[in-house]
Amino acid sequence: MATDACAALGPTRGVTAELGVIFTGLALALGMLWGKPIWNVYWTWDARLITTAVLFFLYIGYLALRRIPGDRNQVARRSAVAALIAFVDVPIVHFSVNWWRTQHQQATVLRPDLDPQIHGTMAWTLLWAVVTFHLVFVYLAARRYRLAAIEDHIADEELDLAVVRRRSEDDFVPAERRQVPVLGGGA
Amino acid sequence: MRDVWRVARKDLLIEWRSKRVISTTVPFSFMVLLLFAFALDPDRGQLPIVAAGLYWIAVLLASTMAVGRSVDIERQNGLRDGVRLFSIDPMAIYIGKVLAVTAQLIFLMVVLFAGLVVLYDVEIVGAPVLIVSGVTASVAIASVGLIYAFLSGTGRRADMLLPVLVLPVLAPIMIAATQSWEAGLDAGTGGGWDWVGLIGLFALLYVSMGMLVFAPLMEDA
Repeated sequence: MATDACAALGPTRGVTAELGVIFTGLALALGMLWGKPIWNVYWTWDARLITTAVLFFLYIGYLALRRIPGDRNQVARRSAVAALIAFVDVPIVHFSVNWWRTQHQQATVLRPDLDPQIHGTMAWTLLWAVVTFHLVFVYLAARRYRLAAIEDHIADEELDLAVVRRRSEDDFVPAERRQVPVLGGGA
Repeated sequence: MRDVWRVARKDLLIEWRSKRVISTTVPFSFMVLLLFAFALDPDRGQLPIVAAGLYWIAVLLASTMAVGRSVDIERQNGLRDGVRLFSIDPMAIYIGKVLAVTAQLIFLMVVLFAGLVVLYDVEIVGAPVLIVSGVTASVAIASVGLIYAFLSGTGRRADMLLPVLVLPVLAPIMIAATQSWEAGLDAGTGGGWDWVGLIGLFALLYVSMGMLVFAPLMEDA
């Protein structure tokens, strides 16, 4: 099963989804700050804003779902399904500016006719920002992944430690010498 | 195909005998309509303008109860073992349950619509748009709602989690359904059928996705 292979990868634990929520939240927050001087409002009921906000809440729900305890495969399978459904919103966000008349301009770079309409210096700034944010994302994902691995490690160590401690207690009887009580049998 | 009808019939029969969904969703959604009317101050004549939106909010909130119940039935009766014993195709179970929940939602919508006409004083100008968009929207709500209800498990935590998970996914359907209903209730806005098309697209998308993911999901139901 694909999900078993995913579980074998280790503690992915929705690391990228957490970062995705942060980045989507940043996009909304920074966009609001930009909107106030340019549009004179922080928020307007515009198709792209609504679909992006929906995306934000979809992945918050995804993270909530991940927190439901269960064995690793179960969590992986559940989360995969939820992520799959939530992804439906991503193309809607992208095409929202073409499907509805919005405050945002229509697509400038990824246009349907593949002819980018963007000025040179702006294009370079955009490229710079895109690359930088991707690098930040990769860096944060690597750090968060490491943290998740350490958390798993600690959990394992604690279990081992608890076993050792229990074994060293006076009343501990190893499993092979333990007397199994017989149901209905008199003492 | 026969199994689809069997599952749907079974769910509807359980509902007919227990009346658990109807007895909670109908009063609940009526309360939502009444509370909105109180909050928006009925004297100012705003209610007919916002009626479509409020109607769909009430339906959406009530639908989370209906899908939750539909999954609860299976949990109580050990769905996984039953499927293994009778070798029913999981896809047939999914479609059957979608049909049953759709039927319950349509019943709720009809009753609630009567309430809307009486309480909110709306005028019907395009009955076909209302009916078609209502039916397609309930298919879409039932199909995606069921997947999320299976995902979120049972118990108190599931009751809290399900609305958080499912309401954002249902938001596009609510927007489209509200727009088409505004066109059907008030001659002011046209283009109701475009929105019906969008709901249909979502219904198709959600049903096919549900058919794909339901079998693996059921393994840990």
